[in-house]
Amino acid sequence: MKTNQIADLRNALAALPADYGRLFTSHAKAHGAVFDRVTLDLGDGVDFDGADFVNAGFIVADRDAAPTTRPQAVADFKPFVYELSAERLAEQFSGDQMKRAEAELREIRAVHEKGPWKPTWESLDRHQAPAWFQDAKLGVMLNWGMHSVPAWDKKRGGAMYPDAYGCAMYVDEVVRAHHVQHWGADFQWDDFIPLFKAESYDPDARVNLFKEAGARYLIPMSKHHDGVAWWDSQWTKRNFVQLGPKKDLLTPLMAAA
Amino acid sequence: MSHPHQIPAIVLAAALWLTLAMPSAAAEPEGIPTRGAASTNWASSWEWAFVTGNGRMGAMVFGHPMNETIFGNHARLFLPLGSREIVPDLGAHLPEARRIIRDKGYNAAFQFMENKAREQGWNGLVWTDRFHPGFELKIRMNQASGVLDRITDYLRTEDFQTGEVAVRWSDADGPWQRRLFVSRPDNLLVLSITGPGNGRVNHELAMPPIPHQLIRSEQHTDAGWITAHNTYVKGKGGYDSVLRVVNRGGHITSDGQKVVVTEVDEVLVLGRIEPWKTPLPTVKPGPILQRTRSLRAA
Repeated sequence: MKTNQIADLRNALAALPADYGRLFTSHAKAHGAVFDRVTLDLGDGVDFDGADFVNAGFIVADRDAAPTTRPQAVADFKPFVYELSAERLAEQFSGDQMKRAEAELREIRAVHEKGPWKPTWESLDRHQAPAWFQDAKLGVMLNWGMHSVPAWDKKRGGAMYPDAYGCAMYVDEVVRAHHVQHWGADFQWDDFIPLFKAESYDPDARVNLFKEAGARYLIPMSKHHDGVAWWDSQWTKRNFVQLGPKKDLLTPLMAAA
Repeated sequence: MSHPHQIPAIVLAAALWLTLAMPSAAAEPEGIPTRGAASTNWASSWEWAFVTGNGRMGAMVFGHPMNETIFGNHARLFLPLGSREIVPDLGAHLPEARRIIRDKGYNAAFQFMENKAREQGWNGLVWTDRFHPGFELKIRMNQASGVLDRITDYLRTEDFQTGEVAVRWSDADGPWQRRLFVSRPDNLLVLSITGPGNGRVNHELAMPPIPHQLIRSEQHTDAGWITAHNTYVKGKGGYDSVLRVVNRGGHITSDGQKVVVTEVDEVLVLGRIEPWKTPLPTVKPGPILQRTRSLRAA
């Protein structure tokens, strides 16, 4: 990098039109696109102007309460339908798959036996973190997936942990109430599958951003509470190559990193 | 100017309050943006400035029409203080810390590690390089004294939908206007100053050297350009600021300290800040890294 950029900057600025209107028009378009991308919803979609001010102000104070309206797109939802029936799944995957899994497990155990670690505290206490990790200082953990669609949880110790939504929507009273009001009582966890599209997912851009931030390692999701594998798994059809986004979310990320 | 990083929060809070407090049913005065902030008082200090930016560069506008200041900012301007941002090497105590976590819990282990850190001369908080403004552009109106008293209809606005900060007022001659935005596509600070026409704008523009002992500034001003090559005294690089001043009508001159525009219809200022870095010194491996390297070699 040059340590004195004055001449370059002067050349760059001299090449631009000395015309406020022209410069403003192209800027306003780009800025407007960013402005429109962000909305500050202080009251569950209540139009935030004029007469609604008092009302909206009330909602601000009560913003943790479950919303009262159901988005139209959700009201029209169709239950998620599996490609294969339970019988066909059992037929295709059960017997043969279990045999293959058993063989693979035997192989894994044999490798473990040869290795230095045993499943005991004494053994694990001898472990030293690798040198690169000692040096890494900063890493990034990705936590997104199907739960990014409902993207909600009750506050637990001041924070929300929506990644367990798939469980909490059935077992937690508060989350259940939110789910019923916002998505409907008949809306199941798997109905989120087609809504999770990952259409803006750009692994290269993400990894570049992490690198730029100084991160030296990355802990991605590969299969989390959503119960769906992020890669084209040979062990389950519940993977995102066949469901939801219909693409491998993991391999391109590893390649980019 | 001890805490410039507080500006966005203060101004955003003020801007939100203004926006929310504005009843939309009432007839809006001309020039007040639908989505934005407005004030009929000029900002007496930077804390009350309107803030705009393109994500990389930013600007703050404050002061009264006779003597206005524009701060140019850049997201990557952090003033190297020369702090040793090195934490003590506590790797050797990790097994013990793990035992304490298991037997006595987190707090005891935290205390243990903190004591070990202090034994190695760590004194708590380390001051890290802090954010600082890039430049100050001073705009002075060369008008007869007493003009300030004759200013009417003063209004400053920020349009959130375009990021444009505007200052408008009138005097006996007619309307005045200063508009500013920081362009996203061109990464450019753009300022336009217009008067009532007929060459009524007589202004002085100057960029005083950054008044900080940790920034060494090489300034250059001529009729049309104000530049500063800034170097951080404690290393890590610096940043360059360049302003191009263009006049429509009238004359433009300079005495080497400031740009003087006389009898012009419009002054346009295009500006950009670009940081530069020198390579960081290579870090010597600590004892842990040396040990693991020797283990690997063996």
